Amino acid sequence: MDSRLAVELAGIRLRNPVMVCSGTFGSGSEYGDFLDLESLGALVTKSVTLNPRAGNPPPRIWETPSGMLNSIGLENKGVERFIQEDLAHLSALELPVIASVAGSSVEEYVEVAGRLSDSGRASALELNVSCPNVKRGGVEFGLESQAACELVTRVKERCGVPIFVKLSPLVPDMGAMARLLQEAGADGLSLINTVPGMAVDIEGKKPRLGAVTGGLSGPAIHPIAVRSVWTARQQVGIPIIGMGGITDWRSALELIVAGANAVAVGTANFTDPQATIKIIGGMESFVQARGLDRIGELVGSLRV
Amino acid sequence: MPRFEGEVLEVREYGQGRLFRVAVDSLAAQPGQFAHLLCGEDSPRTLRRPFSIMDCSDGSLGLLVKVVGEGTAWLAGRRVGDRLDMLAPLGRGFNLELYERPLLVAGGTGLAPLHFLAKRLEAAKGHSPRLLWGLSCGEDFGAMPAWLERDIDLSIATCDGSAGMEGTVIDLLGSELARADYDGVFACGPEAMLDALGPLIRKHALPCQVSVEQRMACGIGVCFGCAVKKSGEEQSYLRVCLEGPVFDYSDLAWGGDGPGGA
Ligand SMILES: Cc1cc2nc3c(=O)[nH]c(=O)nc-3n(C[C@H](O)[C@H](O)[C@H](O)COP(=O)(O)OP(=O)(O)OC[C@H]3O[C@@H](n4cnc5c(N)ncnc54)[C@H](O)[C@@H]3O)c2cc1C
Ligand SMILES: Cc1cc2nc3c(=O)[nH]c(=O)nc-3n(C[C@H](O)[C@H](O)[C@H](O)COP(=O)(O)O)c2cc1C
Ligand code: FES
Repeated sequence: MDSRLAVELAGIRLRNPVMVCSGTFGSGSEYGDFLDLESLGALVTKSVTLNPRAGNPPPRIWETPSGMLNSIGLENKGVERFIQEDLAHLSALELPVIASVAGSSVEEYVEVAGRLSDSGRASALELNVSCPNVKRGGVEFGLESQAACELVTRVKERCGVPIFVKLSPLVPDMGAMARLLQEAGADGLSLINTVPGMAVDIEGKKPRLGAVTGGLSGPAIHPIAVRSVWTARQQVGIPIIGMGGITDWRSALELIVAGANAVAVGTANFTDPQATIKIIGGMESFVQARGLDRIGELVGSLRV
Repeated sequence: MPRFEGEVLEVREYGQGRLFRVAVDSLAAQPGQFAHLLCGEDSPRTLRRPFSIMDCSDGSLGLLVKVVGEGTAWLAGRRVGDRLDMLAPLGRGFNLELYERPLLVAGGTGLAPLHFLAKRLEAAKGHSPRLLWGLSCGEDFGAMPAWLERDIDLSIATCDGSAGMEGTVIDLLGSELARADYDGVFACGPEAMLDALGPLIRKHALPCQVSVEQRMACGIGVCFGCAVKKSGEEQSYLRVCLEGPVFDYSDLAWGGDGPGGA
């Protein structure tokens, strides 16, 4: 692995800046059949809540032009089983693992984050305050800066690992939100979660998704992600993990040039389980061809 | 590694269906398992498409594809020598051991996994089990019914009576169960057909393994996108790609808008 790709995020060393997005890589090991997990920069696990959640009624998926809608609804086995069954497994790998946390109250976020932090098996946590697919939990913390900052303060008091906050592109003032979260002690930002969306069966006059609305991901949202990262970068110095519609090394580097320190690949894993590996290879060639000392030189290098 | 690019060795056109034979190196697939195919080359569709494996022998894999939309239309345009990117074999297949005297029931392309199953059961037991196949019209799959009749113990039902019995495959199943003694059913087909199967298998107190469909993203159990409703509990789901696509009939919530919810 080319050491010029190595980056550091909130004190965590990554061998390269290519990670995988929460919810698109399972609890981590499933894709081990298709690629060497230890060649990734880091892995973000599916969001977990305090108790198991059944998720939303089917259908949960609809393909759209250059993307997909999902309405999974945070189906997960609950934090305890996740720590015992999945984190135990993952922590044996030479790979930073970022555990994603969801909840429907401040108390739940703090409790789940606390247990994950105490497990000693997560390098960092990502607070998912931007899931469009649950009625409570998530967006009401993520769209309003006061609630988001209070959440970060409370989680930081309880946890000993770096805390990333994952935001929705619908945040009304992304720059202000980013700055306030940085002031509240967030160690980094993850941008972006899916964009709320909907599709309709015009014959049956029914929504395509059982939950009626869902979250749009894939190439269709890439420009929204680039804009969110760029807007936040102008206001903060903390690390940003850029994600949304990455399919290849070019779309990944766009986010880095716009201000992301690392990137995460989501929907593209479904299309091509080796997408991350190809992106890492493409970045290596790029860094080599441009004679860069380290990929970090590109972060926020956008000239406007 | 369950991912590979297979070269198309043969394409046969049967009415609305295309039967593909794709080269695979050592692949051990079970009836009921599926292949998850990328559709499109330079900018492939975001989601792969799942297809039941119809045959797996002699270094090749058989797929029966009916054109219903963009992805299948792209597939239908593939020719000998083209390469298909697939993840396979995926999912949990049929359990061949559970019944002594099984009856196989297929609707449309639901034939694919059941044909594979019939051949495997034939190899294990020395005789072909009976397979009932429902089509909307005898021409749907071109010369395939005639070919299959020579190959396996097949009875056909068509809605327009143009081949076999006139009626649905459920009508055919009703008369078959009244006529002969079976101790289990394997089924695959459209959700409405599978739903209509319920009263008959309950009446005859027959266990049934059923292969169901749901839209998929990952195909390997990570995204929770392919959920179907589980029977018994409110709000409890199973993943078609991992826990299925073959389920015990009684494990799924039938009626209403079906286990798939569409
Ligand atoms: C386990 C399994 C086995 C299958 N086996 C076969 C087979 O042997 N032969 C065959 O012809 N078809 C089979 N199908 C159905 C096949 O997957 C769909 O017909 C195909 O995905 C349609 O793609 P499209 O792009 O042409 O249609 P579009 O309607 O354009 O597809 C849009 C999206 O919906 C999904 N979708 C549409 N219909 C279905 C469906 N019935 N099931 C799951 N996803 C769907 C597509 O994959 C795609 O993501 C199977 C499905 C499953 C789940
Ligand atoms: C099927 C699916 C499930 C997801 N589940 C989660 C989740 O549990 N937690 C979360 O923070 N984001 C979740 N996301 C959002 C992704 O992590 C990511 O932010 C988004 O999909 C944009 O990236 P992409 O376009 O590369 O997929 C999910 C996305 C998809 C497609
Ligand atoms: S398709 Fe992703 S879990 Fe089944």
